Amino acid sequence: MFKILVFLIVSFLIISTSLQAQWTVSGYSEFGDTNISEGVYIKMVPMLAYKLNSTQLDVVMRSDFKENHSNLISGYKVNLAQNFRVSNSMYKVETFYMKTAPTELMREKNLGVVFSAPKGHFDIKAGTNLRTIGHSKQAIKEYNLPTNDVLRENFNLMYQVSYDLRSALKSWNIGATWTNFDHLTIYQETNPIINIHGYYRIKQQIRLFAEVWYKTAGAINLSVNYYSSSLRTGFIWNLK
Amino acid sequence: MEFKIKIAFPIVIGFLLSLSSCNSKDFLAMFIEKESVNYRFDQSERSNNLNGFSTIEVPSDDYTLCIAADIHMGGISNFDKFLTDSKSLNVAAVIFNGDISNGNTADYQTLQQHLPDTKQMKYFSLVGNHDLFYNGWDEFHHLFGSATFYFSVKSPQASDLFICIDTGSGTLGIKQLDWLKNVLQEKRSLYRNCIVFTHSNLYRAKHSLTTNPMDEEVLIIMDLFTKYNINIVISGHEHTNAVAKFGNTTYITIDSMKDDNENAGYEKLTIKNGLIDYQFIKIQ
Repeated sequence: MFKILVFLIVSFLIISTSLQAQWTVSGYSEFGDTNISEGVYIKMVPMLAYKLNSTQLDVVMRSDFKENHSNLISGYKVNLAQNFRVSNSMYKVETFYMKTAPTELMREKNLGVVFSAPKGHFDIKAGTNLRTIGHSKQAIKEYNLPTNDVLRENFNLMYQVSYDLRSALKSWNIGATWTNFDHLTIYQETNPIINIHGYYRIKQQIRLFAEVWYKTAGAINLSVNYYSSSLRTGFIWNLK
Repeated sequence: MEFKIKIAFPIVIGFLLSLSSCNSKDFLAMFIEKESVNYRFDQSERSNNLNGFSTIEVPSDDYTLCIAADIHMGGISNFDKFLTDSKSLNVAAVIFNGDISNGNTADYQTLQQHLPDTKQMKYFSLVGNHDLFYNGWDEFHHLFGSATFYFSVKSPQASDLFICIDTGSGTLGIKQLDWLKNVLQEKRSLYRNCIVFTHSNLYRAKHSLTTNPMDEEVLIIMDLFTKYNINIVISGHEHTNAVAKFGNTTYITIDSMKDDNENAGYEKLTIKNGLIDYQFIKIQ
């Protein structure tokens, strides 16, 4: 599956290089702890985006350098977005495929669609995803497990409400987000997570950003407990 | 603007209230941490060190356990019927799989009056999210001691291991997770079957608004269950019946045994010739 995706992405990029296009390279590192991380964890996430007119393709990868399960590539996501205008408002529809290896034996795949409606200082997203949890090939072999044995969760609700203090395109901004998903993580709708974020534009094409995330377990109808906090710092560089 | 606030406020409050899985709720506990799962684990450990872990000896290789979930005491009709049924089945033990109360002192007092005599029937209780409401942990700890423990059933031919974990807060916490890893590493190979009890369901069988443990933690726990060949994982919380097989592990969710639940019942677990059979029995 991964090889097919790489082939499709490379083909798409080769075909479209002669056209008017926008490349964006970005990435971040994340430090934090969770109830299960056995100390501080570090994640590195490089991202590449290619925008052609109103269509954008994003590829996101993740490396876990120190956690209870270290992995050079612990997950990837391919995201295809289409921007469109209705009356005077811009909207976006994104479809994505995501695969992660959260532990040695477990594999998670997600397929989803997200609708975005930025309005003034707000950006509101809503979508749904199909989650499939399975075992790795190594686990199936080593523990003599039935093949194609998976757990499915269909049509989970995805939501995100972001508010930025200043309007877009300013040299700096700060804001807050309430959501149940991130680049390579989707929680069930009853497990919301929050962040405070901000960026500073050091050049016209380059922005540095930081995000502080806070997660609880059991919010809303369990007896809530702290789960995780993390700091994320990174850059976004529009190449053209 | 004022009109919008008037409309939005009741909608938001109504939505938040509707997110609760059951009728009786401690609104504050849903948003503000009262006591951490690590604190509860420390207290459970002290109880374990003081009282040890139970071994139930049964005279036959075939034996039965009965498991009830989400009793939400207040009403005691189904609870009493469950105990009567269990007694007639001559069970090795009964397990209350969390949410035995709504956390109120009065619920725990009612419960105490109806618990069986341990000389006649062994029972074990897991803590559920509702048991923790209104400072319910103090009551639970006083009545049952530990919320994280294991027990074994020893029959003439073999012994089986039963592990009970505290998922009342949607996370095991690092201390309890370490404990679980150690128990599985040191004990699992000594026993024929291994069954894990957890109040919060790890696998969500249907789309609902009950909160489950964090996904990344669930996958780490499932990873352990695959690695250590856990036979069955039994949960409640969701107020539904569901069975899912994943790898060599069967994940069972049991419906609520509340008095006002039309489908109220309990799980009957029978070990026969070393094999585990499970059946949901409706309360008549």
